[in-house]
Amino acid sequence: MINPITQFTKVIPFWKPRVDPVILTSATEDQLNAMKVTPSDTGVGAYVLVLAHDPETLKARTPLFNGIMYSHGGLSRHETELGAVATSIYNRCIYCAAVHASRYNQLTKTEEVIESVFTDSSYESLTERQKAIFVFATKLSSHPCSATETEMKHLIDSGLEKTEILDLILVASLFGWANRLMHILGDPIDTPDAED
Amino acid sequence: MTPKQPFTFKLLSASGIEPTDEILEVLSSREELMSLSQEAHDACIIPKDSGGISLSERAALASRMCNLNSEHQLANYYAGMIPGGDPALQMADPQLKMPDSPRINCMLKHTDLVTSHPKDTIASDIQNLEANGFNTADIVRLSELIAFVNYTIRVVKGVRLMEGIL
Repeated sequence: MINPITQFTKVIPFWKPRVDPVILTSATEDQLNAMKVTPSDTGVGAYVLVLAHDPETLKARTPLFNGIMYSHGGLSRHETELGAVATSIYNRCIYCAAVHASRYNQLTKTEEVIESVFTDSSYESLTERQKAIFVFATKLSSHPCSATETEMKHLIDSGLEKTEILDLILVASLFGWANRLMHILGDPIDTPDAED
Repeated sequence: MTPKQPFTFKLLSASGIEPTDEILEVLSSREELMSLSQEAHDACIIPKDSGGISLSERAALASRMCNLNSEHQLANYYAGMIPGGDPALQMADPQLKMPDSPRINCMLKHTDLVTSHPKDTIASDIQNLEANGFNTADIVRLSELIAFVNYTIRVVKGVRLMEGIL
């Protein structure tokens, strides 16, 4: 019996796939290549093993994901995480929200911002810049999309450079993708899956 | 006058965004990410191994998701990838009645749900795909396709908003 977590948390849950992951020892050459692993690797996560069912996409997706999250020279690491959290909250992807909320807290050594966005939709304890980032990412992620020139202008007025804005667009969009895998193909649970 | 450089991520041109010098300059800082986005596009829309979801169906679903997001120019671009007379073309229009095929019906409902209300997707939605003949690999392929197109739509909307202020 699966008991998925339904409330936002900064404690990273376990993830139980709703479909059978690829079995590493019987993975094809293409699948191993896309996962960048060998059959003797241990510790390949269930999520990667699920995505290995579509190796062509996984192969392009992994460097794109890492590039958006970790590239230098644009939006700071912690603000990138804040964008990821905003989209994950809008899409109610408990797992992604937890992972990126906890990274945000580690990077900033604070907890107030995450507590605020998890519990309070007025974001009162956020600075203008944090609020501009959070609101833009949320509105860009919404359906129908409700981001307008007002939110774009708020970013500029809060001091974001063009390259930082591009990075924010990319991370919010990326989590529109990631949430639609993580939240659709599995459940966040609070104990390790007994079958694993 | 030098000719305008095309976008590396071709979906930006297909959506009607003008490759102005200003926007190209901003995008040039993330050239590699644009190129990887195009690679992901090809893997989702025109993969070498399309599994149980045909290339026409992929283009039709992409077109449908763009229509659901009012990205009609991009929707037409995807619809244009479908050969004339192919019945998959009907799937591109969310206004049209769902076809009688339970498999296609289920695929369209799932695509609409995950595009519009991803948070409302539950385990039985995946079981429903299985009950309608989707194997595990096709469920993952369909999920990546839906997720990628939703990524693209937001990159397009964001870059268009940015163009408005440059």
